[in-house]
Amino acid sequence: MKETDKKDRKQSVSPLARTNYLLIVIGYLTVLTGFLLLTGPGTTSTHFEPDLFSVRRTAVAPAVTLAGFFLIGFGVLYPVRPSENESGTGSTRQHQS
Amino acid sequence: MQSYHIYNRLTGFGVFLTATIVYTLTLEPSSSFWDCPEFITSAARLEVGHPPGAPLFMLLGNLFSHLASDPSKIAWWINWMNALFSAACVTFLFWTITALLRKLLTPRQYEDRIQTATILTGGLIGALIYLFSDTFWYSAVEGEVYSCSSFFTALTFWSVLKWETYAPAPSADRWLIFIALLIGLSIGVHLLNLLCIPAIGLVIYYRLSSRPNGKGVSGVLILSALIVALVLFGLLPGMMRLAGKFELMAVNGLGLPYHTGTCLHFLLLLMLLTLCIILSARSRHRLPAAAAALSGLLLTGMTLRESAATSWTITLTASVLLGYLLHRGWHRAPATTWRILHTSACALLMLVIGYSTYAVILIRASDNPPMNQQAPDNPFALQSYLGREQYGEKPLLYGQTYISPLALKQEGNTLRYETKEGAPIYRRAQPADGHSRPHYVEIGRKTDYVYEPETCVWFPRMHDARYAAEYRWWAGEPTGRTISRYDPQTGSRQNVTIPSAGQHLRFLLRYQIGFMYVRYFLWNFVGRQNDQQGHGDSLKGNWLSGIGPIDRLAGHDPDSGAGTKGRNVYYAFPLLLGLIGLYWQRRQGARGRRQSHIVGLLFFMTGLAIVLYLNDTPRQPRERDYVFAGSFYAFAIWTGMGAVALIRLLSRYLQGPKAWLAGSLVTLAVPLQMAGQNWDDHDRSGRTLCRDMGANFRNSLQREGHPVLFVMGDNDTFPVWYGGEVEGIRPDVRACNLMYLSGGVYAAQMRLPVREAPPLPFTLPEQFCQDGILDFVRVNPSILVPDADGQPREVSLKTQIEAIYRQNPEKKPFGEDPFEWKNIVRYWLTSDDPAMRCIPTDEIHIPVDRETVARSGIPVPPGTTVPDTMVIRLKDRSHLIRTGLLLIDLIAGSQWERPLYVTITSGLNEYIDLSEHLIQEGLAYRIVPYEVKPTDLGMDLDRTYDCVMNRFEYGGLDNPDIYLDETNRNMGALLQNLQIVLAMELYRDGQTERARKVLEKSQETIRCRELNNDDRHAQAQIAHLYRLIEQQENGKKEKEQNKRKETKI
Repeated sequence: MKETDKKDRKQSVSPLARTNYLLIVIGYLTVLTGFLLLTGPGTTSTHFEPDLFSVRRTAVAPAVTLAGFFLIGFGVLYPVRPSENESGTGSTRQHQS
Repeated sequence: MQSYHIYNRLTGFGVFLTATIVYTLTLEPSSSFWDCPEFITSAARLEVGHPPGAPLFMLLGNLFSHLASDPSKIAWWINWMNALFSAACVTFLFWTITALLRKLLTPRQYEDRIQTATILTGGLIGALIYLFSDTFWYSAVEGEVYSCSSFFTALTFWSVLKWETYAPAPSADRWLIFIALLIGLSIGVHLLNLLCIPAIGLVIYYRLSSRPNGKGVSGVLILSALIVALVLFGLLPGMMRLAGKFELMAVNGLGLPYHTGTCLHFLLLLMLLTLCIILSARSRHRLPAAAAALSGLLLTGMTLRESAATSWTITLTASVLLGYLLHRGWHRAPATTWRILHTSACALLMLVIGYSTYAVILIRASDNPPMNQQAPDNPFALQSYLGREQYGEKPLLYGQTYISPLALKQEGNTLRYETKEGAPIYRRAQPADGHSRPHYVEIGRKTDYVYEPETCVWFPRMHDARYAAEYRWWAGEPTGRTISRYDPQTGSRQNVTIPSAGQHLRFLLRYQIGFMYVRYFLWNFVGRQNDQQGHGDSLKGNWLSGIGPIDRLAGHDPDSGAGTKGRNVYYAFPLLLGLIGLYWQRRQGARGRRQSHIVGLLFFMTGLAIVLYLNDTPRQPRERDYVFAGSFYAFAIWTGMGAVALIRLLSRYLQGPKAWLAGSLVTLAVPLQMAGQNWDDHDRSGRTLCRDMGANFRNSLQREGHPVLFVMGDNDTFPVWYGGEVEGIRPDVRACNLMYLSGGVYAAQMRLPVREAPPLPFTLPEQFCQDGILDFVRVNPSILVPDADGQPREVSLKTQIEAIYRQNPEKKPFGEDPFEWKNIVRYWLTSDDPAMRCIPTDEIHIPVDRETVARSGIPVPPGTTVPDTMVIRLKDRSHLIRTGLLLIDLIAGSQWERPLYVTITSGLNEYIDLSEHLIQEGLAYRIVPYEVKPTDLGMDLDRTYDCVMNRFEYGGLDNPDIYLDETNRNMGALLQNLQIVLAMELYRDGQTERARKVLEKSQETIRCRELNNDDRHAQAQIAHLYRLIEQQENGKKEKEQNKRKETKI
């Protein structure tokens, strides 16, 4: 039992490598930045807030958010070199060919 | 082998290009009717549309909206985005079919030229059939979410085939993680994508299992159905429920700013899931990993239900189960367990990340944008928003029938309707609530009426009392159990017969499946009678094969709609091709049969499963085929297989290349014939009627005084919103939807300014407009008053007040005029005693200041005197709902300074009867203080003339070749009618010159001959008017000539 356990440990169980995780984290930080850019003052009962439709909030923020999600998707699928991740990718390459 | 990949890719791009060209050519140049203008507004301006919202669609549409050179082009760009998504969807369909075919035809992954050509032909035929199919094309050229949703489904299904290619290598699992991200993201477009999960489960099972069998398959089906249910009914509402608890603790408990708790919950969830991912990747520490997994899972709120007891039970069971599974797994196959744990944690994280697009809704709703449906600015409201709670709940497994009466309960001496209390409703504290810091106030609880338990049944399919007549039509008179119950209206016991289980089944088969699914399916693959909304008769909206005997046998009149653009028949060829494909696929050994199970499961989940879930009522306002596009997608896969089957069959008799050529040409005729049939009624180019109607409604109103425009249905509300928000037409106009006004949240929003329009002038204080207060106000209720003998006698409140005022003319306990609105509000509606809150009369008085009326621009026809008081009669009404109450309040509050209009398409009478106080100006009625008798001219001729001649746009109706669907035909008819009525009234008024000009304008602007108006009738009317005008003018000329002659003599 213990031996199999040791064998298991040698191989990472993750299909993703460090680069993937990094891209995903950067991607999600970008998404959160987008959400932050979306915030700002709102309309009150006495004042209509034109800033609701400012460039930052209705053009930059959604674009940044989307870029973040795109980066996450890219990060998940980004193919890693075999040296970076022992188990997975080598076989991926073989299958692709 | 390499060349196969190149050709496969190239052909795929060719498909994409073709689809893009087709959809671009047939694109609607501006917004379309129904929800499109609303979605375009929500995307272009990031405003909050109807539940359950589509935040990812908003972000994507927003990106495309910035490509527009000016605001009037925004709709085109968002429509075009959908054209691209649809084209990409067709492309993934192509690659999906070729991937499936390749696994069947060349399992060793080596194909010769003929095989390559055959595989690509199969993909191409299937993709083209889907490209040109009715339902999918419809969504591809307008600004709705279904195109984007189809794209996600296609991408998801294609991704799982990618996984299948690389599995079982662990690195293939990245595709599963990617799928989780796609599903999470697609929640922000439409929930439809969740329905792919069972098919994905089956792919995984068949790929990984060494010896697949029926037992395993059923296990997978149960497990994947469980996952769908866990996400749909667990995670989606549960995450908001839990975030709500954190939010309440942070804001009300600790006095922190709004959203702190929600953010805290979300970050904690992200951290725990990440921790679980890291620990499982290291595969070393079992206990911490298990703890992280469990707490992450619980923090998604997946196990939470409305009642605490159920939540605890589920949570404990789930914890024990998870612990047991992990323990057992680690004991038996540690590596696999760690791998599954790791991939699941990654997938869950991706799902949560995708779902977090809803932050966009939360953030925008908090800032009070002009459109802010249900105002989901906190997790509690967002949960209701996601659950579409304002649409009411449909019973799925157990519940009421349409006959079921509401349950009663004895409370003291009175009988009351029994209600079930749900979760508390919170909203942000307002200044009036007296909280200096952010605070959530509980304003009541969700309540549901309870139906008589004896009349509730399992699997109720006919459940809505509003459609009793239609249910009888589809399933016959109820023949089930008879139950005797006390009827509060008659005061005696009465027998109630509920429909039998067989009748529910009959309704499911005949209507829900037959009419609301199979009919749509056959529209796409057999043919369609016409483009009129079907309700079950033989003349409208049926499927039609084009083969006379078959159609007559089915009872569908082949003559109805013959020769119109909406008639499309394919002689059932696409259907045949698909069935052949299915048969052929199942004959390709175990591999083929498994494929057919996978595609079949997708077909079922996106078709019949939706039917079961929707539990539709009869008389849907529009055709619902767009919901089932995914199911037609699955069938299109089989049509592609059908093409291959045909080529393979021919190759028995012909040489390889010849067989391929013959087969390709024959099958290519099928999609081309579909394209030929469908082009004319899917080509929306040149049509801008929806956009123009929104502008026309706004432009009907006078330019001074910040007019208010009451709207009601989807097809006046959404175009009006779109016109103001996206194109900036008449930003001084304030639109107000009467149906939404019955909700307290919307009523509160009407107190906010929007662009140039100030808030609506309510006189009723805000705290009396909230939900739970004055939802339902009695009108002139009866009270018991002792008469001369001391016996209690029933008297109406109005009579009693009049008696009091007669007896004591000096005292005036309810103000000078007790029936004036001001006094009703003051003494009754805002009374401290809730029992007093009623309208004590059936005649409401509103004072009228003549000078203001003269100043405000209200048209006063000659001979009409403006009275001192406007009287609103509520005869025959026992109560008013909030909309009626607020309408009266606004009439009083406007003080005749602020013009009030209502679109001519709205039914105001549902709320209060103002039919004698309306004057038509263009496409709107203006509310006026004086009485307009039925014999009076109810139209302001000058303004309507100005509208028709100068202000209105006619949506491309001057081009007789554009295609108009039923909604467009109705709207066009509305415009044509207005012109004819105006010309008639002008003629009667003696303004023949103007009447002639209006007729000329009509002939010039509306040249489409397919309006629902019964165009021949309209043309006859126009010709008749022309004759009348000519006669009068000739008469005048003759008179003048006679005069001249006379003078000469």
